[in-house]
Amino acid sequence: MPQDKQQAPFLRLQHVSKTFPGVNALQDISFDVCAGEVHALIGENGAGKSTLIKVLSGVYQPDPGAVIEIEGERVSSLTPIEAMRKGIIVIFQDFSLFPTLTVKENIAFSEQVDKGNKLVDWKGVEKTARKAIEELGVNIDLNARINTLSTAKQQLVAIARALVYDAKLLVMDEPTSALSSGEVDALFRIVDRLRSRGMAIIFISHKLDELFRIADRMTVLRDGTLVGSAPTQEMDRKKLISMMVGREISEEHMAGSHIGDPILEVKNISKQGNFQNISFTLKRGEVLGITGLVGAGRTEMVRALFGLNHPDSGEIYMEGKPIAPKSPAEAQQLGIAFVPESRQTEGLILQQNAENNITLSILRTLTGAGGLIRFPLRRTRAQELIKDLNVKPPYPDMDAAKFSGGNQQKIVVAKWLATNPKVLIVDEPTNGIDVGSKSEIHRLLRDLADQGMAVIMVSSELPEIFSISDRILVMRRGRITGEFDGATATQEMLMEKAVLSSPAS
Amino acid sequence: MPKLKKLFAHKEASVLVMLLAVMLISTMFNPTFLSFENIMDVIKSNAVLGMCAMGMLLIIITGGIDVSIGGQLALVTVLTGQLMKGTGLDNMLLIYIIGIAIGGVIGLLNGMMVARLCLPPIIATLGMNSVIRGFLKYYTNGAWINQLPESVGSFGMIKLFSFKSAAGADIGLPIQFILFALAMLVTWFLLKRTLLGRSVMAMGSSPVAAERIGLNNKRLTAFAYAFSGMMAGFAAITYTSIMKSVDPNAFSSYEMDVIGAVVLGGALLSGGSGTVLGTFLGVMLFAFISNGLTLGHISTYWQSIIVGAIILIAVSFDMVKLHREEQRRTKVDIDMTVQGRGA
Amino acid sequence: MIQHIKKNRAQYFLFLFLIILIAVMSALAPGKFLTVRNFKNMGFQMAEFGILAIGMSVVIMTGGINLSLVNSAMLAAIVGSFVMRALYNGGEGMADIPVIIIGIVVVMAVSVVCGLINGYFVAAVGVVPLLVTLGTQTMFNGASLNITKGSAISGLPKLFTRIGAGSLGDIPYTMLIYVAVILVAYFLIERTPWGVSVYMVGGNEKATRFSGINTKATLMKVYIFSAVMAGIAGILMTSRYNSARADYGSSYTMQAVAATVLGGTSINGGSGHVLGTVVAVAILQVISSGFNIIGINRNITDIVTGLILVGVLSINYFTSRDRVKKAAKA
Repeated sequence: MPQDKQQAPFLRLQHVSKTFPGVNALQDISFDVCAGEVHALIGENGAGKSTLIKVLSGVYQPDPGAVIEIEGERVSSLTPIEAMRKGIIVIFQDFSLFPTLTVKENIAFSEQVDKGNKLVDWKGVEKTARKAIEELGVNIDLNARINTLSTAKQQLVAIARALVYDAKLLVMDEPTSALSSGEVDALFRIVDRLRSRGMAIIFISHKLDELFRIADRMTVLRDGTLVGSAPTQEMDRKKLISMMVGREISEEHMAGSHIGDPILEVKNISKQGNFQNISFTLKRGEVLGITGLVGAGRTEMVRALFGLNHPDSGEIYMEGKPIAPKSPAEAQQLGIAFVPESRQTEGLILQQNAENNITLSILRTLTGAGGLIRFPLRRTRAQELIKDLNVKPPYPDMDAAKFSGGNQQKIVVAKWLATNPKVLIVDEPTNGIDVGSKSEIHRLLRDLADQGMAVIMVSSELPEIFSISDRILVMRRGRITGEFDGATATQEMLMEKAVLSSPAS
Repeated sequence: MPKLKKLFAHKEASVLVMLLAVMLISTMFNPTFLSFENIMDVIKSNAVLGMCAMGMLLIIITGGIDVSIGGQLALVTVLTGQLMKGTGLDNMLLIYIIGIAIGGVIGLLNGMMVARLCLPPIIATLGMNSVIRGFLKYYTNGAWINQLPESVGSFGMIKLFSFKSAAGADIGLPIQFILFALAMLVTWFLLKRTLLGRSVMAMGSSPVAAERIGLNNKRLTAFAYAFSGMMAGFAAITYTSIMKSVDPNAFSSYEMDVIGAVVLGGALLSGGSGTVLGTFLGVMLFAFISNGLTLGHISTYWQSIIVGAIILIAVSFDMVKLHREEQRRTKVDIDMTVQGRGA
Repeated sequence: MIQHIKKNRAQYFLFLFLIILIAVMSALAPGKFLTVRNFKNMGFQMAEFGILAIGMSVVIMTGGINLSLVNSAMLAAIVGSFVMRALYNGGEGMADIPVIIIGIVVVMAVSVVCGLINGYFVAAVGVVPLLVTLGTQTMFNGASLNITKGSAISGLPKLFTRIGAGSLGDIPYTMLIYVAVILVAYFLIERTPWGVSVYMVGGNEKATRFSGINTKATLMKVYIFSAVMAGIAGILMTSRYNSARADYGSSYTMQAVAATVLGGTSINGGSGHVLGTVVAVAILQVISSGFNIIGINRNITDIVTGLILVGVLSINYFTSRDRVKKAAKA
């Protein structure tokens, strides 16, 4: 090879395909990652990002014909351990830490494994861990157990551990999804630092704004093929989105048409360590967007309305009558529905089929003689809802786990529509959902409101907030700091209330 | 004060407090409770439980459970008992090695079922227990094995540093004390100092993460069950040397006592946590409760009620504490500089 | 229909296994196994264990386990027998029928209390079922021993023993009771909202609670149901032995777990069928009776039970792995 080694990228993939029987997960992908660059990998769910990551970290073997070069040297076949030895470290979304072990052991454990000593060198563990933490320039108690740390700190431990591996290519899968904005800033400073040390970083995220801040280069995947790859300065938001979906997506504002009387009034509710002095009114036919940074108390507040987080003080009125739901069952009786943030753990029973999930909230209404469930009626109801919400594929017998993220979310919404609620609360309704399903869900929420339902939508994504909210509340550090009309508010106005501590009144 | 708080954050501390309370109450009712002789007696008669608990600790750390411990103990006592009776073998070291080997093989089989066949631990070991118990009934027809070599019984009577008390009784450290200490020391060293032990701990904490850093989860799991089997073998021989005979029906539902002791000692069934010290305290708590009740002339029938209640209270206490902490945890850093609503 | 068989293929496989087993036993012991007498005998023995196994199954469907099952059965039976003995007073006291009725009511009441205790700690306090029932197992057993002082309570009404020993024609009463229990359990668990929520709680308690289901009540009812099943089994056992003792049926607890799992209920909860458990119980019974008739040492039965348990689950593991592989291809 005549090429100068200095010029060669750290990792070069050429003609990588990965076929699972019947599916082409990756088709002829070629791309490079250079030392000292942050390379964003973008694509809808199912576009092939995770398959690609699994190929370059040795979990999957690509189909024959693929060429993988690391630092200019061709690698014939890569195993996960070899990939790690060569400095390719993946930080998964769950961080892969040991929750009941200490920070220092988490950071240095792999080193002990690699050394192959039979006994643990605790002094060495301490030294290694301290060094790694100092390199990141952060402050973490080395003897703390992982399960006592915040998500942001756990992530730092995962990064520190990557340093111990002598990472040359760090893959970060949705690293900011659980971080507050301050924590994201801190993370980006560390990413900067690693970049300037010559580390290559692959950054996977759905949050396009963040990618524009941090990435040097962007590569877009769609349906297992590489759509395009360009330096960040040659990209813009619109172009990126159209590359992702293959068509232009309008982020237009869908305003409400029939806003009616107040249905839910919240008066001055507070809960220590959760939220403070929250008051607002929700009207029929309205979509009320609630935004703010992660950790602003939005989820905690809406959970109070659903009987999951009882306020210490304050009152809630529904149609003029005071209510104090103590459990989701009570909230449901009152006509309140809640689509939680985490559909996999709180929204769905994954190993049960769509029909069981959808009809769970209305089982009692489907009984006939002797209190026995009328199965044909249940099937009919499930099928109606599946059709109404355009769940794909429309199979009531299919396990919830097998649906795509967007369709899973539709199943959760369907479960609540079955109860015919007066107030529908959705928390981050499109988190981790592909762009196509996203707009479908927005359309659906808007339609429901137009039919007279009152909708509360908690979201961190400003475009989402703008697209369907009639009114927008901004929360910051447990309080409501701003209220805006959905049609006239601007990103800057919201950001200011969400971020700045200046007294607004 | 914060130091004290930190101390109590350790689960061992709360077990210790309970243990001291039990000892105090027992002493109040019967002062002989606190005598060296009585305490040594308690340790002697609970050494077997303690040894098994050390093995079970490792399994519970992996997130598993072994309900065949009772069967393993019975099997080892019967097989080695037959061997001793049949051949007159009386070399204790050799007997221990054979017992540990038999236990280890059974444990390894359990481990293979869990690790290789991916059977849920409770089912795999339930099946094993059924097979062992069936085999024992078939093989022995329930008959006891008596007339073991003299030296077996005398080994069980060994007391170290013994001297005659004023009353003329033999006082000293029973050999079981030493053996139990040895079992704890080995387990402690394994869990704290060896890479193997730390790997088991790491795997119990997060199997996925362990696999990702290249640990061989299957082998670690198999090892944990094998280790527990070896401890059961060790305990079984110790038991034979105390009893001087073998009852093939002994140890029925003994596994529940062992699991109870480990759990009282603060290990979580979800895996990844648990210490030798905590388990020791759990065993002692178990032991002193029944000893205290006996000395207090309370019917043995009450003992199981009280032991059961203590297990319930201890685990409920943990849950309530966890729940309260979760409730109190500050989730949002509320801005207290603002009065009333901002906008 | 084919869809149905595909979905429940483990069930059909199990049923087929039972048929084959009966055929094999009939062939090995011609004229002895396939007789009315033998089936009657099996009927006597199967009922109490089958009812206990159903009581275990519903708990396992929620992802729990009930180690105190047999101990609560015996505690209830002992308290009931204690009351019956006192009222009957060796024939000098009240008449048979009122004594038996009161006795049964007492057994059921004690069972419900046992279920409430388990249910309280599992549902309201949130302790792991294995630990709760480990504790209550010891407690219930201690309470039983306290009443009996380790011996048996006998001197029960004559008529009472007819429940466990009598038969209607060639059908034992116990079998009739068993069938009735199966029917009730089937409808309750597979056809009512409570039953469906049992599976849902077993799949994901949090998501079920977030769907407006009162999961605490669901769990509470599960443990009460389990204890009531135990109570019924306790009555049958007491009647069959004509006495109540703390250690009757002590090996049934783990066997009930085995029958449940063999019957296709995942130990992790969220799946399973009452009829699967019933078929599994029948399989275990056929093996034990068959071995007895053929003249194989009955202790081998335990060994075979253990091997079948491990074997069937291993087969399940390998077939499900194949299915996962196929699904990945699709």
